[in-house]
Amino acid sequence: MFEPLKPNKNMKNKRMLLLPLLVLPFSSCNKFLDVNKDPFLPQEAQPHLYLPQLIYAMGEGPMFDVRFIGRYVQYWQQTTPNENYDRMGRRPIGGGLVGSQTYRNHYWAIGSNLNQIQRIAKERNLRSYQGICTAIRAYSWQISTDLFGEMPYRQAWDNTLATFEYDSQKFIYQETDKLCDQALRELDDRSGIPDPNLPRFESIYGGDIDKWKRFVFAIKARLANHISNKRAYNPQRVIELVDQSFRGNNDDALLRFTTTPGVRSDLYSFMGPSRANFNANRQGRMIVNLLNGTHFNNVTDPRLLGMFVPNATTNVVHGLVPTQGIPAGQTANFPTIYGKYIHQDGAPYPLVTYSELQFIKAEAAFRLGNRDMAYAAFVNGIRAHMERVGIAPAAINSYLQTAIPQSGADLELRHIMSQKYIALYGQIEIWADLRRYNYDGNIFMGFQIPTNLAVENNGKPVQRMLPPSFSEEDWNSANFRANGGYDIDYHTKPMWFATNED
Amino acid sequence: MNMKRLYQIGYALLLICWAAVVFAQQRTLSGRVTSAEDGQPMPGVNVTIKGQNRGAVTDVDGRFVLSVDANAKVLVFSFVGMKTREVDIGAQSVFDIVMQPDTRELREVVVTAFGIERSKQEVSYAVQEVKGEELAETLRPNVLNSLQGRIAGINVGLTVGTPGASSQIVLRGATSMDGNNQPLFVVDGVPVDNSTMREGFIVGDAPNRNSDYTNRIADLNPNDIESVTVLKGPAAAALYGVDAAGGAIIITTKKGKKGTMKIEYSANSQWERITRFPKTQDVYGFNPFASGTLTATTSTATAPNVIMGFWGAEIPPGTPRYNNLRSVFQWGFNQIHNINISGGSDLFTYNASGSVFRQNGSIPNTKFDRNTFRLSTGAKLSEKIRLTTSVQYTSSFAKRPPVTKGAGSAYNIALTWPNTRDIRNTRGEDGALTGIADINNDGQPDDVFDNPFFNLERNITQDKTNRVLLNGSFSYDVLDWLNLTGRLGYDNYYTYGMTFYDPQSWARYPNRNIARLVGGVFAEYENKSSLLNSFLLINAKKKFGDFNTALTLGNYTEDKLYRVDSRYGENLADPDLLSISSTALATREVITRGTQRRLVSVFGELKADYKNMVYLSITGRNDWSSTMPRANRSFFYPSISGNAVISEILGLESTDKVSFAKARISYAEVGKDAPPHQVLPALQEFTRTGGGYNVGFFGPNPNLVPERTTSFEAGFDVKFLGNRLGVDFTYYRMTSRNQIVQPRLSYASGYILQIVNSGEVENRGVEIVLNANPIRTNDFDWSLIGNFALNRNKVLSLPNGYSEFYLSDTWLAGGARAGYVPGESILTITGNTMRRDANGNIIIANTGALAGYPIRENTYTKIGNRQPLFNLGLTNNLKYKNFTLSFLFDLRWGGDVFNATDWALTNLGLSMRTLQRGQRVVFEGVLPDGTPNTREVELNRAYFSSLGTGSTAPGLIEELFIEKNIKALRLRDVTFTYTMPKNIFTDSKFVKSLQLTATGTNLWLLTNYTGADPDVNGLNASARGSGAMGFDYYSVPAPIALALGLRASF
Repeated sequence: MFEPLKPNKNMKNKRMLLLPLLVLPFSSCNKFLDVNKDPFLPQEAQPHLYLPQLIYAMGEGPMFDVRFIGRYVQYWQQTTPNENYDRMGRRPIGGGLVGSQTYRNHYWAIGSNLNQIQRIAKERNLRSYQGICTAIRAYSWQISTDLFGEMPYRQAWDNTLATFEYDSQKFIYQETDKLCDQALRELDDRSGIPDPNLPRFESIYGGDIDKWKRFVFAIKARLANHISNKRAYNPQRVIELVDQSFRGNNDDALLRFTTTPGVRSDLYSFMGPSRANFNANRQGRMIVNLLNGTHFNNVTDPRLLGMFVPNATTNVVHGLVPTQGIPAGQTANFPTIYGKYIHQDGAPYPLVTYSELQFIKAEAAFRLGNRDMAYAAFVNGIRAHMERVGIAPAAINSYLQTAIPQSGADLELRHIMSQKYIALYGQIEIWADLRRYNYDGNIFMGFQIPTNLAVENNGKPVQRMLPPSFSEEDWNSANFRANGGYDIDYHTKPMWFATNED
Repeated sequence: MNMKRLYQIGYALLLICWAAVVFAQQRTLSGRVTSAEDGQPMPGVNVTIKGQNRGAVTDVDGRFVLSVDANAKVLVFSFVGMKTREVDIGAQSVFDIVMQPDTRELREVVVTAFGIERSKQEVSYAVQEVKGEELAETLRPNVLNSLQGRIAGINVGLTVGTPGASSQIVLRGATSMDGNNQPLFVVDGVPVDNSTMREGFIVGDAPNRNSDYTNRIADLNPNDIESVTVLKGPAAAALYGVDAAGGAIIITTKKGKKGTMKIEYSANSQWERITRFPKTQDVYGFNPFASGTLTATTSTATAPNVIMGFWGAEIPPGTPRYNNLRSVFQWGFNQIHNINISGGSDLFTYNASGSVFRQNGSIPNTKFDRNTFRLSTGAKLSEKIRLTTSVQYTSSFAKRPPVTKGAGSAYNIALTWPNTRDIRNTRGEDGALTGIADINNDGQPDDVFDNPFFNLERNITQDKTNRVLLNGSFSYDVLDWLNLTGRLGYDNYYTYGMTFYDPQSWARYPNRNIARLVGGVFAEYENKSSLLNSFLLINAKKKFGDFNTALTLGNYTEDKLYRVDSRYGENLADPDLLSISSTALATREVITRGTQRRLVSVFGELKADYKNMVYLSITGRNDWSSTMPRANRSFFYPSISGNAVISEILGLESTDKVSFAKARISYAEVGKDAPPHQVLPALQEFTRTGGGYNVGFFGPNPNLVPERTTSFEAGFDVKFLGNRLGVDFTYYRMTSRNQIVQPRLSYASGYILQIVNSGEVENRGVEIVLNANPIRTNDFDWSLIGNFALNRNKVLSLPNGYSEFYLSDTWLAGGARAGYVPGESILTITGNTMRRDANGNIIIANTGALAGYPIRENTYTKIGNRQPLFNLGLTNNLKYKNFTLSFLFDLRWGGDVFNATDWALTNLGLSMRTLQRGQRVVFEGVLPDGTPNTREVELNRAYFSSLGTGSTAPGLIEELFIEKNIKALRLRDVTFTYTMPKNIFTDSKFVKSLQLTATGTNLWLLTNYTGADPDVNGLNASARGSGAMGFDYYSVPAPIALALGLRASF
């Protein structure tokens, strides 16, 4: 038999010994094969390089999902009649990412990037990132659980698992509040190496730690306020939290977009004309009636034309009746929704605002019985929002003197919540309030649950969004099913935060 | 050394030689060798003197002359494929030798791994060969497409019938749920690239549905191919390693042969036309579901499928009709010219070829052009050292429809264009481009589309590839039993592709903008691929008594680099300047993507046989792949195979009824590595304000191990009646475990997808190859080859215990997709069904607007299986004097197709099934409470169509559009050849032979499929896993073609 490795007397066969050496280049083999890093993209980046996408994702989820939530809360409706979301319908089974971008962003575009930033920042002792990251994580949990209810919390981001168990919303609320406390501690720890890139790349507050602390208190205030139907609700505590949060419009957490015209459309706001996501939507009747004087002392709110586009001829702003679509022959009354306020290419999208917090305070103070405090916060809230819309000071003062109650004594909860409804236009946050008050048309003036609710609702109004079918129906089905996710009316299952359960 | 000294030495040497000649020469023998088969003289027969190292070779006329000495007793005549004859010399000096064919089919030499030629008798696994000439005669520009039906167990699917389209090829059955299942392509011993451009690498990240790119094996000129050998199982491919887990296709190109220079020229002209279209209803007129009109102020279509509606009144009698499909699909014409020059001496051979191919597709303004040049040489540097080199240059150019298939394609629009309107009118009464606009009345141009003529004329989608293939090898016979072979291959190509959408066009660039809204779109990409590989092989052969042994040790090293640079811009300053510099600076996007993979392998094969009767072969291979985690990058896999030539053992003769019999068995394992850069995936660029990076879709997996396929194969090969009838039977079973899959998973993981090892797929099958030569006379010869293949495929388990795992790219239309379900075929279609009770009764809705109709079940369960029951290809070759006729029938029997085209046409009201509108029926089924349904309902628009209703129509439930058990008998190729009688050219110094051919392609199809053609593919060939064969969604079928040609040699 042929045996090449055995020494042989034959000279020619000795040469054979060298051949296996040529054949087996082991020595350099490992180095030669170490090419599994992508040649054109990094596998890990400096922490600041993750920030632009991270901050965008904080607003992307709400902006995407408010397309549908905006129809539930009646900020806008569909141009065609009997539309499913106008009727508070659910996304269909297998409906993919419809109305659930926030869910995807929470775990992926926000969560996984936070995990990387925090790990890398820790390795490099860039501590200033930790508190900001934890604050963003808390914000993301808050907006996500408010849309989707029960979610995997304890098993989240363990990508050695194939399925993920759900945790209750109560647990998520508790943990999110703890995350806020952790964020405050981390924000106070200024011992690490400062990163000059942080202020340049962190576009919400430019790395201002104090403002981030106020942001954390804002999230804590939201959490504390959302449980207003529970025994544990403590309005005094809510007021304290608001007082530690934003001090003015300058503290607003905004997602900013370029105002340079003519650039690529994906650099512009999702709410604006270039992105063309609201082509089939027009402002709803309710928001128009809140602004045109129907509910506020027959005074036309200067924000009506500050926020919405009127009929070009009559200069009257019309609102769509939910589920009715644009009535025949009324096309001119309903020009596209673009052009004003947040519906502009370069307009910033609000994440959390001073105005919102003042309304939280107003509500808490009102419930506490402190009418003067409530009234002051109520006016602050209106003024702040009017300033954000760009209303002139004289017009603001005129409105404040004519349209609204002139003292705490005349103030009612419906004034607070309806003004909050106006101030939170285009945001998902108002939905939490509508659910807390069970879509009460006396609290939110003019709100009417559609009479022709979608069939799947079984007569009940919508309470939650469904998580992406690509994620939970398809790949986490056992846990999703156990949580009732396959019930045809799962979207009407009440949220823990809005109930009186402890 | 001075001149004088040299002279002396030379003189001395000359003397010695003379002396040898003088003393040895006794007498001269001569003779002629002919073949027993046809009586023709046999050139190239070796004539040697037994026991001496002397001999001669017969010339062109079969004659030889040989000087022998007194010691010469016996002459030995040998020739590959013929029985060796020994003849006593005696006193004879003139020999007339007739040689008999060797029944052990030594003649059937096949090229196996590393380009080693083996007699078929030696091979212990299924291997099949087709001659290049046979493939070239079919005149298919992409050589892959001519393999269907000619090889048992091969499944070639043209993805679309437009020029330069890609073809997907799968041998036996798909083994990887999520990986590449295409075989490895090897040209002259070195692997070459057959990838298809992946849209994920260019700006826009489109899902490979609407555009097509050529698969790069189409860069080969079919006329350069000497033979194609298909190694089907992992056993055959065990030596080629990871890339050959799906089999290997070994292409051998033409080489020069010793002799005078031979020049061959061939030219063909071909006319093609797409003729097969689905039938549409012609009773009810166009009436868009909202208020749009056809002569709107705007044109062009991003999504005609949600805009057009044919729910109008009956078309009044006498209304003129236009055949819009006929207007769009015209006669295409192509030409190929090919020249081949070859020849050589004992020491040097050469073969040079050039070809020019020009195709104008049947859709206006579509093209595929290809020029190739190839030179290969062989040199014998000494008795022991041989050298071969080849260089090939190809330039390919494809001009494609901007949307090749699917929604928005010219086919889609032409099919759905109202036939009461002439599609050739690209302008309406108001002078604006004709289209459909603003149907949902939202003031937004998101529901308009281009007239295809405008689209094809003004928008440009094209790509050009320059490719160089270099191949060099040396072979050194170190000892008479030891050979060293080295081989180096370099495959480099550069593709430049571009898309231009006219500023007036309503076409939308994938995931970007509508050209008209942004002042036009220009995008381009450059794709650079280089594949460098080397082989080093040590071959040793030794005979021990009756045992022959051979050992091969080898090393393979590969470095593959793939890079795509792409750019995108809008708002062209000068729409005539097709350059990125014409686009507005602020709109520009640039990305670079790419992969690198390196592979190092060592392997060995030990073969032994006993008296050429019983063969055994053992192989082992260890691969180190760069794509695996460091700890798992080394993996070993073995194979063992054996065969017994029973006819030899039993001593059967060629005259016996059973003239040859062989049985074979083999077991093999093969590994498969991961896609590059997936163990720790890269971040992705954030392209919005601020830039930077963020995590991508894929989660990391540092514990990934190679996928593994084990295969068992057994078969026999029997020939009867002097080899005039032969049957080759193979059974195989392959199991792929530890599949490397990239399933989606709950976002709670932090990622969208995760690369994991999970899942198991089994393939079992039978292949039968039948060869027969029923008639063989001097004037008339009829032979036929039948290829039968049957594959059964089963997904044994899915990743993460999922009950369904799907390929999201195949989710082309409606609720149906390529989904894997445990226990079912890998070619399963999952989709929405009608709701049924436990007894299988259809449940009928009792309440609501859809009361009386079946209820849609929005979950994904098995609704079809694309796997045919079997495939049969039958080639007939008939020869009468100077005429030959060969034709190939291809039969597909069984397997389901998702007719998504009909699904979409039903929604529009164009499908023939919508002619039932207005009928009143009682659906058979039960109400939710179990009682039988008795409610009569109308088959109205709401039943058939979801357009504008906001609900999902029960008549659109995808289950209803699975066409079951599709059978298709196709006349794939017909070639008729007339060879001019030789005697015409006997006096010609110039032309030596002339052949005229007529060819027909895809001329006839008989099928129970109601759509255009069941053999279409919803995606392009870059799709992974089971791909989208059997998904018919506005996919242009292959054209029929007719050609005339001539072939001359000089």
